[in-house]
Amino acid sequence: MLHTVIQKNNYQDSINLMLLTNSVNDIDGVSQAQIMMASDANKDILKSAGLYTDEVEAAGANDMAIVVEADDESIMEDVNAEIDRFLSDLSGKKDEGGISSVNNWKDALETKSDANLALVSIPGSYAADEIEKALDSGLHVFSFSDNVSLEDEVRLKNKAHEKGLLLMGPDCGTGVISSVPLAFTNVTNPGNIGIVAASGTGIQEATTIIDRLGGGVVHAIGTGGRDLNEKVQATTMLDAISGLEEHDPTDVILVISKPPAKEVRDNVMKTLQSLSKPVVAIFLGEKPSEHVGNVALAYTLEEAAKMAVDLANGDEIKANYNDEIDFEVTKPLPEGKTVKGLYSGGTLASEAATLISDALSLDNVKGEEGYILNTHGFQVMDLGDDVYTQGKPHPMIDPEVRVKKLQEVLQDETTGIILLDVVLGYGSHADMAGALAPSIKEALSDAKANDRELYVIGSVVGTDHDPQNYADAVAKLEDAGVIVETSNARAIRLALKLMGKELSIADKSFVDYDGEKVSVPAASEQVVELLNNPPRVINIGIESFTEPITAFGGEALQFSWRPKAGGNKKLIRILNELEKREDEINASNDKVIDRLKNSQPFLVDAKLAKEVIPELNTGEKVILHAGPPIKFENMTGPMQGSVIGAMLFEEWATDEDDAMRQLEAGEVTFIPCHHVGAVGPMGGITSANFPVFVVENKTDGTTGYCIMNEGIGEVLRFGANSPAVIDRLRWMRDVLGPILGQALRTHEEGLNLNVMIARAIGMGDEFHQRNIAASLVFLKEITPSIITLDADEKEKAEVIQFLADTDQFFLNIMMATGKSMVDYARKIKEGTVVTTMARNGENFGIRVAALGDEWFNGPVNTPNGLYFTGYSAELANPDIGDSAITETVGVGGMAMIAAPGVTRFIGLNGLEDAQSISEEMAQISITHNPNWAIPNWDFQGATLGIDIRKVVETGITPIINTGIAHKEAGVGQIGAGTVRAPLEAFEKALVAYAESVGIHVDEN
Amino acid sequence: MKTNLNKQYADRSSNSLVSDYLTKVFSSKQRLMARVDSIFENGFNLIFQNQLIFVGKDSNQLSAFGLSVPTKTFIEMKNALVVGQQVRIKATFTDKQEMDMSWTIYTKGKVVQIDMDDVGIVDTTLPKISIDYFLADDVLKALQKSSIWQGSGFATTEYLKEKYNQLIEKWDNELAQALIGAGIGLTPSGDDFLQGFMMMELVTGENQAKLTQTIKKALDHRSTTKVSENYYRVLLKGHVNYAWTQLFEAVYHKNMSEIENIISDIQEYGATSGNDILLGVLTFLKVHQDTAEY
Repeated sequence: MLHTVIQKNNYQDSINLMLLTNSVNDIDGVSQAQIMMASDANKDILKSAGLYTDEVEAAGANDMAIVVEADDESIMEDVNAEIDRFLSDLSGKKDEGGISSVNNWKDALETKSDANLALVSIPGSYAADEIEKALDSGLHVFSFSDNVSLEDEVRLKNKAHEKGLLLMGPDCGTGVISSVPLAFTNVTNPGNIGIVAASGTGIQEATTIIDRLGGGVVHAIGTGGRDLNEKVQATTMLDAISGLEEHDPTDVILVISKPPAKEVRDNVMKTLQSLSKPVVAIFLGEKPSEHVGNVALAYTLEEAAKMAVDLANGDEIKANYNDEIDFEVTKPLPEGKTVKGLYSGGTLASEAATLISDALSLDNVKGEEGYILNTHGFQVMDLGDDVYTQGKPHPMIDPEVRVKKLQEVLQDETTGIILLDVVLGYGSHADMAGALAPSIKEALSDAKANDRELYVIGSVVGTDHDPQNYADAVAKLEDAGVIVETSNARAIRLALKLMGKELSIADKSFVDYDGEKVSVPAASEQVVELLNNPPRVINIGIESFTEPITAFGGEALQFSWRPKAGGNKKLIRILNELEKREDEINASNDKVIDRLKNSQPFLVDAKLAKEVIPELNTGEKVILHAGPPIKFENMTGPMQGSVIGAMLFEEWATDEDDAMRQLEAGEVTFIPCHHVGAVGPMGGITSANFPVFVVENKTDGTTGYCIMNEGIGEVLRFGANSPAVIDRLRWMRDVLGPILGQALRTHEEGLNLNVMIARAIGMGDEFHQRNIAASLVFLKEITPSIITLDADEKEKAEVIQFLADTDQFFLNIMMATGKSMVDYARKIKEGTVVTTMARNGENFGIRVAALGDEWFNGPVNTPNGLYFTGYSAELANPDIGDSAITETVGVGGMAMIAAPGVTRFIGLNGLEDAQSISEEMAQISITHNPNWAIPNWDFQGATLGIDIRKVVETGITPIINTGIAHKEAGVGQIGAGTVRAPLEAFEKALVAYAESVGIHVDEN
Repeated sequence: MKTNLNKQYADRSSNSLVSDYLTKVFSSKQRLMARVDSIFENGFNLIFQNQLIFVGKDSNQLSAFGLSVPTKTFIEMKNALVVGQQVRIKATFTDKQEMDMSWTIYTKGKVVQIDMDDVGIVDTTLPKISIDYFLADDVLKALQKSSIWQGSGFATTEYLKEKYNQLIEKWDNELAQALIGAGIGLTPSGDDFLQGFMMMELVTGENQAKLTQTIKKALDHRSTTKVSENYYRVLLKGHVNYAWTQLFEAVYHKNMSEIENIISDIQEYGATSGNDILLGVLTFLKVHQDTAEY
């Protein structure tokens, strides 16, 4: 039994149809199927295949015929679904493989659909929003970003916990997941130790010491410095601990915490005491005297690392891990000398402050901002603090801050010891030891010359696997005169020994834990998955963070993030609110898009403007113009010149002076073309007796009108109004228009423009700057009809010759086509799709589906392009014309890839540049138009549906291909190029849209 | 002398085998964190506190400090290994002849876990067999006709050849020390030769293990390769590769065809290693044959 579906006016090329036929034949239950355009030749093929039906016979060459032989009629549901899928996939084809970078969440989640972690390293004020999006997308988050408010941290961590996800950070400087290093990180061996830590250099110090001792770390989960704050309640730490408890390859858990809130510490301790695995914990600032129950408590990071390694090897914890300091001190520094700690790592600085205060019985006084310790001349500085890095790189990246501080502290005569750290690893300076060495050498040399006793003591946080190499860094520091110890704790202890105050750390033993134990919550499925697989990362922000991930077995996709809406807080708030209503808005937009896609534009006639536009048939002096409303006095030279030309053509004025007098007297009424169903190129000037094309959108009869193209050179649309121009307009009124109208009326339905556009786009037109193929297709279609007309032969020949000479003739047809499409779509008054873009030389105006006829304007830009000999950009008129209707429906600049030669107008070089322009335009468009597939773009359809949300969010504005008029009336076209729509128009529209859907728009 | 050959052999149908020497290492800790030392085409070494653990896929070539695993498992392990990285081994005895093992290979990006149940424990301890069994005509002939000299490193290295000639003329334990670490490769020919000689001392109980004692002392101050050191260590603890235990069993049962097959298999060890050890064995027998005036 044969089943037939005819899709009227759906033109597809034969290769697509053959592929589609194969696909349909693969459907179970289909005996045979054939999908073809219903041309006469194809009808013969269908006949010979036994697939010819009455419906096929009735179909025309522009109709797609689907004939299926199958016993069960219900199979046609599957067939139709497959046809929709195939055509939509064809037109929306995505690149596969090789994508290394995206710039929005949608693309990120589509490209890396198996991602399990977002690494966020963007300015803090934007981080919370992106963290939330990542969590809402089911991703764990590692937030390198800081400056997230405590309130946001609490909210986001609670959200992460509820979703079974980990939020590592904010302000998480480093981490390791499945032995893959994240952010600022050292290359360490993997092993059976799992770390949960406040992060930063605490993790780096511990992991590198563990590595140098022969142990290994499988996970180092950063929590951020405030996780043990009483408001955050150790949410991440507890979830991470649950994960490690269940992670079989982890045998030992090492917890590193900044000074915690007591209640939170107690709660964490209950969990640690309830684990099946041994735990080493260090609560920075505490000096434990014993180990408790399941938890070995450390005083220094070095001690914590050593204890973890012993436990990892299945060995007992030793009573004391503080080996003797080898450096022999014969005579301690005299009374009054002080220690200055110049740290790049915050946790290391804290450790120094704690040990020094403890040993010297100093109060741990921070004093002014930027100091971790500042009392009695003893100073420890975290030079990574904002106080030192405002507008400057972090001291792990740039030696400058430290070099300056070094010179500064040497001015203090009491300074006897300088403590410093050099942190290696990805993200850090390529040779910090080498960069600091000259200043240190000089300082020590000066001290020696001045008989001043000065020691520089340092430690290197790193491994031999690090890009900078641990041994090399140590050697460089030693060569500069630094006494290099194997850990920060040992460096501090040496400093104290030189001060005559050896830090005594008593032996420790285990005591029973007699507190409450808890039932450790099960880790979520997502946490288990994260900890048992290599991380698959969407890296939002610093691109170099992808390098260590991919180098060590993880996967990473770069999300080249930039602030939404250029960082405009008000617009960001609106976008975020709109995002919450995304489903609703998208559904509205789909309705508008469906109308654009399903449009059936046919060129049905050519008539005088007054015959189809009532506003021009009132007997009054009414002139249509391009763009949003504009007063005559604000029109630029070319538009004013065109107005005068139209008045001369209509014989309302005898000459230019007469025209100006009437204009100044307000005798002429101006209406935007767009308000009366019309569009006009450049000045867009249209009056009663201009012949116009009539394009009918067959879906519901919506029409679009546009005047005819006059050719190039001295023409009215560019402001020329000489007698030759007026004479040509008269010829167009009396000959061209009538003959084309007559010829078009011989076609019962008119000319199917979707078919003509689909053909021409495959021949290299983008329908704004380049229309030669479409003009020839039109000539091919119309010429036979003209020849057979009962009309003057000479006039017919003139018309055909004019069409043959006018490469851009189809532009005006395309414009009317676009108008018939958008006005059909505009009947859906919902959503954020741009339905009009037009310029009047003063303003670039847009209209949006939901906001009906309201214009949102921004000042026009001046095009950038190539100029005819003798002209330059200074002479160019600002952007003008309704021809941006082409871009509104997805061609013109939006479809640059269809006509790569156009890129040469703006100094670019063809295919690759054209593709990147179209890819960029795709980012602000909702979909692709399957009717207009572009061969150069792997047969993706032209973009469709510019979305004001996307424009404002990305800051990408539509690119318009355009001719360039001379700024003075009468000169005409002086070049061609491209111009960007102003963002302001889209921003205004977004604000208005937000208000229209009840969003409170706060100005602050 | 008395002969002792009450050996408990594992069921050879087990997928994986482990030397009984290694089981002592494994049972010393709840888990053992070893490190990947070296990787070869057909095997790899882990190291744990100076003890090598050799993993191969040929059960006939099971090392005294080794495991053999099925080819599929071997490939899975080898693909995950990187020299220097850690491997956790957890082993539990299921009975005296089998153990369950769980391997965790820590690599960047992923942790590979391989569980091996019912790993057969192979007795690699040296038996006690009277020298008479070895000096029987057939056994000696089997050794002598096997082109051992030609296949050994001694045939091609002047230094070794010279030392060998001196020793064969008049055996001197002190002089034999010079062979420690002599030669090239993972197991230098001099070490292999000495180990063959020492092995025979320990099996036959002849010579009061004088060379063995001499070499044991010498190793305190003479160095050789890590692999040879490990072979010395296990030998001094009375363990040898599985093939040797098979050979000794065949000698004890005077199974000549088996003896010839095993000698042939041993000759395939390394470039010259098998022949070097066999040369040590043969030299031991020659020295004692002469002494006994056979």
